[in-house]
Amino acid sequence: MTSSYNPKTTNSPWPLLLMLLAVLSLVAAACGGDDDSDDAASEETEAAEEAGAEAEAEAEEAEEAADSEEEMADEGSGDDIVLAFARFFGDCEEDVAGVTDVNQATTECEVIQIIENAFNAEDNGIRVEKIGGQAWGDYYTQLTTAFAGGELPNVGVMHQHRLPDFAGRGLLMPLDDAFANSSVIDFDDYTAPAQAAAQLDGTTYALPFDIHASLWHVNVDLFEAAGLTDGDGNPIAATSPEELIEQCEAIEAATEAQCFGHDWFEFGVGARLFLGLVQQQGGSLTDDSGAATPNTPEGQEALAVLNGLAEYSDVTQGYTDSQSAFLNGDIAILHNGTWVVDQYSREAGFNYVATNVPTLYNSPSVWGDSHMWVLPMASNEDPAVSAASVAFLEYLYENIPGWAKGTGHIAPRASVLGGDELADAPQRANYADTASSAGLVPSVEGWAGAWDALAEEVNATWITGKDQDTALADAEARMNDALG
Amino acid sequence: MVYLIFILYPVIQAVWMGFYERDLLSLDRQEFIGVDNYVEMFWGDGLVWKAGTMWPWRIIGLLGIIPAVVAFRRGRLRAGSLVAIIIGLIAVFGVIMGIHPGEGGRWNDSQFWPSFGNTLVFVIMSTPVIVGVGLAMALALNRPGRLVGVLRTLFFAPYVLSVSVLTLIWAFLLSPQLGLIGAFWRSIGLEPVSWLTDPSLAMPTIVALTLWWTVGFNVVLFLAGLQDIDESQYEAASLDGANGWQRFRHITVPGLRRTLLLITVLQIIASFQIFGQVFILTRGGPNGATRVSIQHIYEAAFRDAQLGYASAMSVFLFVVMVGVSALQFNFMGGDNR
Repeated sequence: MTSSYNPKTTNSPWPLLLMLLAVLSLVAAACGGDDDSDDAASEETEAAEEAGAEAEAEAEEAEEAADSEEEMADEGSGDDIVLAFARFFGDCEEDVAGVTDVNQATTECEVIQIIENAFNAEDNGIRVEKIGGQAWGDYYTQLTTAFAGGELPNVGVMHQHRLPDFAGRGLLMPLDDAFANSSVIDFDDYTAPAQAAAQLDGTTYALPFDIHASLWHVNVDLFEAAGLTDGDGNPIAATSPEELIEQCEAIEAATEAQCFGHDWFEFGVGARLFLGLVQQQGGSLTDDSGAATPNTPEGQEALAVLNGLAEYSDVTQGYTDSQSAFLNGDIAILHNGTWVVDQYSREAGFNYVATNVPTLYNSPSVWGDSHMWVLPMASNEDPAVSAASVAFLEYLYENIPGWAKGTGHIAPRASVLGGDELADAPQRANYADTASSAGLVPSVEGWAGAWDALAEEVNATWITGKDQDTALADAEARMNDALG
Repeated sequence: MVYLIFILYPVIQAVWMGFYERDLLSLDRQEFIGVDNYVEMFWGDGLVWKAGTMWPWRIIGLLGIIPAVVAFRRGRLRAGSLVAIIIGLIAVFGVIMGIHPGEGGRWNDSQFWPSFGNTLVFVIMSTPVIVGVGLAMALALNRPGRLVGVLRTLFFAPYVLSVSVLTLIWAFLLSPQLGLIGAFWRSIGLEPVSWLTDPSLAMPTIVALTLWWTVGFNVVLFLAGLQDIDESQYEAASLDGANGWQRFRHITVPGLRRTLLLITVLQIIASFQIFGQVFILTRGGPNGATRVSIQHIYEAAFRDAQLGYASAMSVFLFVVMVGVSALQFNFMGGDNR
């Protein structure tokens, strides 16, 4: 330890002291970070609802997934058929271990875990075992690898916007016959957006579990202070871009608050509002041949509206920042999804209302997507297994009300929307219209890449001040590269 | 044998797959397409050549001829290597970098060159900083004492964090609204800085947190190198009246030559492979300012399922890394031949 050191080279104490200071500050920083890593992790799960996350854990988790599948094969020595169940929504197995009453759930994760618990508690000869549990950006990488490597789940979750990538390659089981023969599932009960989400070229490949969409989350106290409430104290919805800007002027004149907020750069939330506004004008992001067409008069108008809103916002706010500023009472309108309604209802310290994204043009439309359940073809070849998978789908179908009630997502079934199961759930009536106006993204292969390109280009207009026409032209070219 | 199976085989397979159109989700379907993947990568429509394109970078690159000539004069470089280097530099900086899309033209893959450029920027920014700070810290820590021992452990500590933990810590620290650093900024009366959303700050910020994360590894290697230097040399130099800088310049630096070469090469390779930090913290944004090559490869393979194209891009990155490492050995390892 000592013999080979040369203490003479550096005798001054200063370098050491400086380093000590640096270290202490770094350690303090690390501890601060660690304390919050749980928080951050849960936020991550929350954001992960719509956003990707860790690339690193992938290999590990994929391995785990493979391991647990093997385990399952081993454990399957009993009479039960064991179904490997792949999903995101997070990990909370321990938090709700043994719970089978879905009303006790407080998060997405807990709802789905409890549904799974309840299914396994029934004496039905089928046991469901979850693999994965990670954020969804990561989820599709794993699922893709699973399809390439053969270690497949029997039942898996999938967004509408990813369905064409898998169904288009013939990897998913067509479910039309299974639904027609089922005494439980009534596909006709699904709303129009949900039916469209589950189908590709006329064939049904998925069981929709929800419609989730953009909403306006409103701080009514600030609206009231600005005189923007009607006789019943409800926030007045803008009916044109000009009116929306007038609302912002009024709010900023009457209060200290920021008028509008959303995630301006992280997860493509700007592109969602862009999509909704294009569709409200009767436009579309793709033409009949499936080519991307964001660079239209409707697209230019929508992008101009977004940049107008940016003037009444803080474009350095991402998902978490904008959310906490809203909950802190500093933002009048927050553009975020259905999945935060229950959380905000609990946590907002002001008069909170979740409402439809206003219709600023001719027809209502708002970005939407769907969480759906699919059966990979290769892992359901055995008729006994596919029958068990369909039985689990039926169970999930019956639990759609519980999912909608526990998460804020919109039930995709007309009978549930019109029924009284959701009557006492907070806010649902305020955004009931979104169930029919949710505009899905185009069902084309390669949409994920096209969407990322669109999001990056529209974001550039407010982050770097990129010229709006150039951004849309670049977006169009890049989207079509991705769509191939 | 194990080396062959786990290292060489994937490389060969990547080269082979680079000539195919291969879909990750339907592996049984593949089509030999020759060099089409490379055309997609490197080429575009309506490309033109102009002497003035990116001229500052190209002149800096061409100036690389000077150290090569100096090294040759000092006998550190063979004539053949010198000619190869000069031809290579003129080809890359004089000719190839002058190619760009003209009016109405565009690259086949509009993200390939920008992401490679961002990777180079990261390599150029991070390598000197992480190597230099590592060396400085090692020199300061190269002394006996309990406190120094503790410090060495502390400096190494971040290196054991996984990239996801690292990014969680820094995402929290850097958040302008919620983060510690933003709070500090406000406490001295300044507007918090949006480190990760300002296109000109995002990459330097990534470099800074990578420095924090990985410098400990270099410190450990440098310390090991320092301990191999015979102490009697320092004593002899001191007796001859050499000051601190002279001892550093004439004993420490030559004694560390091999370590320095090793660390620099390892650092350059590691920097070329940057991915996790940017992917989680910025996802390549803002406005593509931090999209790096590996992210582009990852997206091509796992998001777009274009396995063949992703392989071709990996092969390109591999060749660049091998080339840069070879240059390093040529320049810095010259004494050993």
